[in-house]
Amino acid sequence: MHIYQPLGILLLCFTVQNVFCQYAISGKVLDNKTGKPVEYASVTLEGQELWTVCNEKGDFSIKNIAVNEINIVVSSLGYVRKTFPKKISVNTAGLELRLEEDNLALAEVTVTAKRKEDDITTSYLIDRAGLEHLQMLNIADAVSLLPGGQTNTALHLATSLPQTIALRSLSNSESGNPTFGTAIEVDGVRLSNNAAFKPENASSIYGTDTRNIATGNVSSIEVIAGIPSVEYGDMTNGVVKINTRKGKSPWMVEMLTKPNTKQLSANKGFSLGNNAGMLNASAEYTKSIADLASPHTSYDRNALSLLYSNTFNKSNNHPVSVESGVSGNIGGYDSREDPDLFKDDYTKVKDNTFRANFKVNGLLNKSWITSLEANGAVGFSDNRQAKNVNKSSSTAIPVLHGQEEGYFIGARYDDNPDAPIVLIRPETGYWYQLKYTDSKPLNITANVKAKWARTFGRIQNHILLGTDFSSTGNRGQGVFYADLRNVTDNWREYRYDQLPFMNNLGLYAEEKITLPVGTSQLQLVAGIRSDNTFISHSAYGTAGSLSPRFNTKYTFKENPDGFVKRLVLRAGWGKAVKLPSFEILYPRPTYSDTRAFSPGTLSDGTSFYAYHIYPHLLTYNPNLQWQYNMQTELGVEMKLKGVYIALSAYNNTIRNAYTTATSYFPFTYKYTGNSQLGADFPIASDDRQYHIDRNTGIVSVSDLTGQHADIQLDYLERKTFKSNEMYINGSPAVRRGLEWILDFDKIQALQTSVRVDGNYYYYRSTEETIDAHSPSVNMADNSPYKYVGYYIGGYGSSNGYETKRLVSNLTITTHIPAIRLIVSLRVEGTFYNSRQNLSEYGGKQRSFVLDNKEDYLPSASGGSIYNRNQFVGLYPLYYTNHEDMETKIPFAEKLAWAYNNRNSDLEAAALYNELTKMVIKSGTNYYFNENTISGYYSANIRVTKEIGNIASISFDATNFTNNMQQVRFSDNNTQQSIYENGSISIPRFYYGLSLRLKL
Amino acid sequence: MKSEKNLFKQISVTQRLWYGLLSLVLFSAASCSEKDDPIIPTFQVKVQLVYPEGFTAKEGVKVTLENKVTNLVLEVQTGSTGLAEFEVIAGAYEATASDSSYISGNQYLFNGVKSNIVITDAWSGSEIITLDLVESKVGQLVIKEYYFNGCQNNAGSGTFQRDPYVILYNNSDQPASLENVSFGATIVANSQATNNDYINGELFYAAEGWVPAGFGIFYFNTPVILAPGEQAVIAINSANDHTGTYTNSVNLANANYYVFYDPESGFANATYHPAPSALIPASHYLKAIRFPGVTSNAYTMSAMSPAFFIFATERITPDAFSAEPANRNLYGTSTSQVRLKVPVDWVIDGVEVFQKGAAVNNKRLPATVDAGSINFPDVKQGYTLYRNVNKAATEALASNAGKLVYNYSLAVDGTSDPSGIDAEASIKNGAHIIYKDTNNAGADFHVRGVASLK
Repeated sequence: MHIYQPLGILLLCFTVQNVFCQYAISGKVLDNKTGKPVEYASVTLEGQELWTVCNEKGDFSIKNIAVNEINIVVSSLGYVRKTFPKKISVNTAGLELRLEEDNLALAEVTVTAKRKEDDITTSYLIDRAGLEHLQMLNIADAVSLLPGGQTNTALHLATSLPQTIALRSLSNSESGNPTFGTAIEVDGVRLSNNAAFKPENASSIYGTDTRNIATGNVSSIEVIAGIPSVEYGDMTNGVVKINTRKGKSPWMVEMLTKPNTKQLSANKGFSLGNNAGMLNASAEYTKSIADLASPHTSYDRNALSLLYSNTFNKSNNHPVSVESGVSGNIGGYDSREDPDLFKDDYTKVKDNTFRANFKVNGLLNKSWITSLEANGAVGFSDNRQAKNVNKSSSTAIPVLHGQEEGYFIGARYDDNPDAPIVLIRPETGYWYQLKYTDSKPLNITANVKAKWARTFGRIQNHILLGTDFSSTGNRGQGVFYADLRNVTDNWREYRYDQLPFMNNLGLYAEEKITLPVGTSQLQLVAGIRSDNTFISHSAYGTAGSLSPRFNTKYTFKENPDGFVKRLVLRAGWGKAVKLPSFEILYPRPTYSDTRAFSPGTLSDGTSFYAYHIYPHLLTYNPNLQWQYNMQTELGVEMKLKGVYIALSAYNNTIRNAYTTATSYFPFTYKYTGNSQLGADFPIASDDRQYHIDRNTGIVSVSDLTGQHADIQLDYLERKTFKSNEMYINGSPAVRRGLEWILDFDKIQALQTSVRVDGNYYYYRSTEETIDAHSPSVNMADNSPYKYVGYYIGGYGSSNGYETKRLVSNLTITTHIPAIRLIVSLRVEGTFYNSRQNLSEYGGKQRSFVLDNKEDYLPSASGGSIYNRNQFVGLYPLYYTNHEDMETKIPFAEKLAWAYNNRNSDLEAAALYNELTKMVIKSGTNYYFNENTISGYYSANIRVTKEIGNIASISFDATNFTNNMQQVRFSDNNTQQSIYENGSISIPRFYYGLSLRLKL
Repeated sequence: MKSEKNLFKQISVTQRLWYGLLSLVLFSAASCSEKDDPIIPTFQVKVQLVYPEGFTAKEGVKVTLENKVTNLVLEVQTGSTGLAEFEVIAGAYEATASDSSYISGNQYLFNGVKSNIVITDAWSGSEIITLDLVESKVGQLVIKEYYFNGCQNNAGSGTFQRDPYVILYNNSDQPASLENVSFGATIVANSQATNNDYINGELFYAAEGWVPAGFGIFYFNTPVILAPGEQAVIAINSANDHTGTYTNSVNLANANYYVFYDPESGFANATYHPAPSALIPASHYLKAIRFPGVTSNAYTMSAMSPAFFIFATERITPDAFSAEPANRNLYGTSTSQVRLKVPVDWVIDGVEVFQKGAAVNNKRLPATVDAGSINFPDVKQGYTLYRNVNKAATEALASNAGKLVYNYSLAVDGTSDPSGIDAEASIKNGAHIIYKDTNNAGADFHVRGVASLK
């Protein structure tokens, strides 16, 4: 109920109406060069929420304008979006608004990311010219154009893991899963990855795979890196908005070739005739191969999209725009063994998607509502992975399928294919195991939002109210196999399509006030968003969260003649919540299988293995909170004499990041050895039939010939542990950064402009929740280890790390409009790149210095673990033993006692030996040294040339100096080639060529 | 793909031609201006053998100097002072020497190796390189055969590698006990891998007097006695008959064989450690110790280039020795690569295998355990390492008269058994073979094309 209170207050504040004089404008949109009308151009009054669309003659009209100073923004596909400031005091007709065709003959063309100055938060725009110049293959390539962005090192699409985007973060290993927290939208439709599970070969869930998004029909990409409007929910690391081409256009055909990739795309905007609307169609074929020498590992994208748009009621001041689109992709990853090896092993991952959306936006222009927009979308993906692996064996393989607890003995597949333990051994000894991992995420969304724009004197007020509903599920079957006879993996069915859908209802309200302060202008945006998540048939039930967000912007009066021509200051604070993935919401059941008995293998290769199966409990954490990001941001944009400067500083803290906690409980099982089954055992080995009691684990042997009575075998009781895991909320992770853009004025004589952009990034996180761990080791007497240690932040040597990175890029762009040529040189420099492992809790050291690598006791002289070149040890805080899991024995004290008495007390000596098994040591003496990598760079050159209005060609060479420099690692003073270390990367020397034709 | 490879080849050939032409031009230019005789300069290299205290140098000991670039091996015998003199061209060399002495009925073996001898134009020829010989033990027990590389499967779809085995042999004339005899393989597992145990060009543990046994050890904990000339076959992974599915493999299902099998230890992976054949009694299962910190549930060793050794603990059980934390060591940056610090004195025999054709091979066994190494091709064709026969000693046994089979022809890959005796055929004839044991794998082993158990 909490959500309604702030909403009510917001509404109450603005029920007072104020009516001013209202004006109307009308006119024509024309092509500046030909003077011909521009059909169906969109005409919007900035800040007024008033808009219309021209008719086929380029005519437009807008009424009910309540202000005297207006900015008319006109845009149309193929033309440069332009703003026309007008002052009106009477109804104005006959306006002629002229648009320039978008090409390189223009005086101003930008091929980098532009700071979107109108936005109140930090956001960037990369338009088509920039994307074409970049020769983008994958949406993820475009983020390299952001301040301090670096060229994507994935030079092709045929990677076995998804390719994703993470804004304001460095790697997916950081706390809070940044790629998953970055939202991606295509034409306003969210590409949700919530219902996906982590790939088989990955350690965590990934964000949306950008490889299936066609790039040929993208008209622009907007990136909101700062604190977004409350209309964006379910994200913590910003929003990437992809806009596709809308509007009339000729056939645009693009051919792109890079060493590993070929792409062909075509698109066209069809006018369906007067008032019948517009249809944009696009098709794209992309094929990427992983290795130039072998075409057997590839990624295919075959994308098709149709987008219908129309605007009704253009002339009566209540236009209604309708947009409906379908898009899809058929393709995916395909990895086959080289057929020269006579192997049919392969891995294929479908990346088929289907998206449909419908959007209606009506300009109601009433005193209580300005516009109403409703949209709905369905997204469905088929990400089925098929993996065919050649298998062979000379002995029976025990394959565990049982999902219930108890002792079970294996049965030959032909005798009992449904046995909890199946003994696999095809007669031939050779076979293929074909495994499917079937994931079919389905995402349905419906949104309604109302805008209300009002003017009170010189104060403008906008209210946004909206609701969005999303329902996410997975229609896949999970893992299954073509033929269970051939399966050697331990497999238990876990069907994704039986998991309940996650439904989320978001409600949001936002108030934007623009008010003049003297000659300057202050803009304030305050919003609140409530997300209520409903998961039926789940322990999580209903969970709610509130996300308040504030942004403010102060714009000083422009002073075109002064040193400071323009100055804008911005500040923001807000919270963003990410809904969990299914991987976290529905933890996959896991099983612990303990071998209880394995009699000798018979001459046919069969051995009747027996196991104890323990299904780990699916522990839902009723206290699990959704992970969120608290963001603070400060920004400055200024136009000085000769240079434009944009700065954004941010401080983001991920809270309640998902992590796992393990709990142990004592478990005793019976192990039956083979010592009794020697030559003197009364029953011959081929005549034996083994039984194991499901509950007691006692093995008995019966004689198939009936000659002997059943014989019970001796066993050994082994005391060990079983464990259960659940997701909990972990410790916070801090990200701080500064992004800058310096655009120097164009040097007219050289037609060259210079940009310096970059960022400084800082990340720090230490996990300080307590986690249990019992080492997988035996006691000295060969019995299982009987202690469990409880470590702060888990049993890793470090419980977090800190990174700092300073990246700066220099872009020199020469644009010669007369010959329609643009050449850019970009040098990407990494000046500071450091990482340090941390071991801390509550501001104190969690580990201690060891005098010697072989020691188990802290150095008597103590000291900081961060001093250079020393081994570092970690103790659990306390431990418990098998007999008494309640008594927490302080570890450090007990170990010290055992050490001090080990020479006089046998028990102490034995305990010392056992307890040392819980001591974790840093693998190297430089593990906690700060590792600063010496600076490195990579340089790219890109050229785009238009040949008349028909063709344009782009060429690029990444790392064209073929930089293979040696870099120095300060932690252990080693030097390596830049390519040898996975933690740093610059792209290889690489090139691409593309040709675009307008037909 | 083929054509691209050829293209690459052509380019490199063309490049070589260019370099060749260029050097020819430069060379002729140089020779015109100086002298006409293009003699490559040679240098005199003196190697002095230094014996441990109590032993004196002697004449006629073979010293080898190997050029590490060209692999050219020079052999010279020492003079009376133990000095060997070579004439070599500039380059990087490795000097090795082995010697044995019989004093008061005991055999003493001496081995020495010195790497990184760099001869440049600055070499005056008066320098003397000292080659320290260390005394090594001559064991009763030797590794007669070590089969670790696997074989091709029948489907042509890959290899089979769950069939490694080792054969221990009593090479003496006294019964040998296998009690507490333990098996270890080093971390670093592969000779061609980066080896962080080298500090200033030396294996740091050699100076500390131990050899690392990685991940865990298997050992005999039941009394087994090998009579002179008797052998014990020990399956390392799966003691089963593999020949049904893999005809190139071996049948390890034999009541007399032993096996590394101890699921209770934590090495319970059913693929690596399947239930042994029912023919093998449980008393033939070797016990395992899986070291604390090791996360793998399979005991693995290199299938390409292992450094494998056997040892026997003295006055302590393998269990008790392993339990002591001070006897363990962690390799490199991993906390799961746990190694047991096996005192060199305990090592009975060891074999250092290098991957043939690898750009770099690093020795892991100190010279006292194995002064040399044997190159083994990683072809997975069922090849095995087989010990050479001590011809003189074997022929000297009167009981062998008429039983020895000569013209041994199973050595492959450019290796040979200089004795020419076919040990397995001779054993079948009732001969008692005495194998060569100089603690130098290069001299003691050859690559046999077929496993002796086939």
